[in-house]
Amino acid sequence: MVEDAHWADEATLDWLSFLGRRIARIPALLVVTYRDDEVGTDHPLRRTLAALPSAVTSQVPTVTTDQFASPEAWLAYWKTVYGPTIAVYRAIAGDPDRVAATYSTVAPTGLACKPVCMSDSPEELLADTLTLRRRARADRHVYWLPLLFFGLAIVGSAPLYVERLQVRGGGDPAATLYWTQTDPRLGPYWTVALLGGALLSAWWYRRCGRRIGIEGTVGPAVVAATLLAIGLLVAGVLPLGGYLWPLWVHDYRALLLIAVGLLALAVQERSRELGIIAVLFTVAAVLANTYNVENVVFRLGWDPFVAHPDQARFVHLPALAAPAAVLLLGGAVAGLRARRVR
Amino acid sequence: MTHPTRGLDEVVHQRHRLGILTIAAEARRVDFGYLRESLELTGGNLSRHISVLAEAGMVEVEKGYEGKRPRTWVRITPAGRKALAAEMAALGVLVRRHGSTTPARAPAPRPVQT
Repeated sequence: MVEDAHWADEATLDWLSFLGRRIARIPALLVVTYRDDEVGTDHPLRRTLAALPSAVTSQVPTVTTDQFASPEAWLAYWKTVYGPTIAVYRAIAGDPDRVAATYSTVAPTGLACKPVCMSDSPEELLADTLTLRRRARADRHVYWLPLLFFGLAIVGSAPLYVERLQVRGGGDPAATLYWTQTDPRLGPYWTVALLGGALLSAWWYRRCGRRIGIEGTVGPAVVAATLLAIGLLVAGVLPLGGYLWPLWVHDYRALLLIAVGLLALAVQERSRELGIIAVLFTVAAVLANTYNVENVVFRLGWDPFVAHPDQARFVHLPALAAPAAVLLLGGAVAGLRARRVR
Repeated sequence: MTHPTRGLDEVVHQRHRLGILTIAAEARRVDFGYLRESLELTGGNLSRHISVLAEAGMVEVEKGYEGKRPRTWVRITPAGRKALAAEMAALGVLVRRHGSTTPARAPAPRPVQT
């Protein structure tokens, strides 16, 4: 029996760990008492107790002056505290695996471990569980790379959104010159970028999961984005797409696919930070598709149609700026946080 | 009204087993080594707790190799998720109940140094 272990020095704790590792091999019962109000979460005794196999912790009533009123009262208290322990030892016949189950059946009413043997108070257990959950989530969150990838993919697509002067051919040249709205290479570009991003994310999550030891998944995000892609494809093939104008001003559907993927990933990851990034990105992506974002910069003083007609071909780029900025900034911050956590 | 302790499952209502289920519920699968470090347990002790959970059908254990290095992965089952949710709910009720019944300024008995 080791009493008042909350005052134990390092050597005693080492000895306890040493004994604890071997106690299961011998028919012996080790009883350690300590004052739980003096053992905080960072107390070295916590680690020692955690390493004891088959350890059962029970909270006994606080000793008060009443227990010293008479020898009988003190004896009664003593039996309340240590009686179950002795009964357990007799009942388990040296089998450490039966300690927890037996303790709950022999401990009398009045001990904190009735009717179910509790390691700690519900408050402590709940608080520790929530801490573990928070740590596990922080270790699992590695979404910063997909964010940076898709942010760079948007930046990389910018040259393809620059309009080009085309000649329709024949007739009056003034009437046949027109600006292309999108580059025909945009389709293949986004197909490769989205597919590549999904594969990169799946590979990245798997790699980090194996390295850290806790595996997340991007499966739901990929499925959600794929379903939307099929929906958009159907909408594009069917004449329905044409009737969405003027709601559907520009074709930045790739941004919507990324937005849906990020929202699904945020739900899957149960991450508030990623949720905020995904919502901001979704707002920017929806605006890009449904509003002439160049009007905003026009109001800020950039007039590509009158003052700077040579810059008119860059008119689509402001719509890409906000989504790209959200992903690049969000990815950078998430990456720095992930590095700090580990 | 049923007392909240009736909602506690003795398999789950143990600090380390509850920790195993909590971490496993946060991932597709979790490595034995990660659990050991997170819960600050010895390998043998953790193995014993995982066996209890596996026997109760709350986790599945995958043993394999990564190169020449043996690795053990733990995956929570739907039954494990259900048990974890029930345990968390019961603990929440207990905490609220305790908080609502504890008098704000009750004279506490003076503890005596032993």
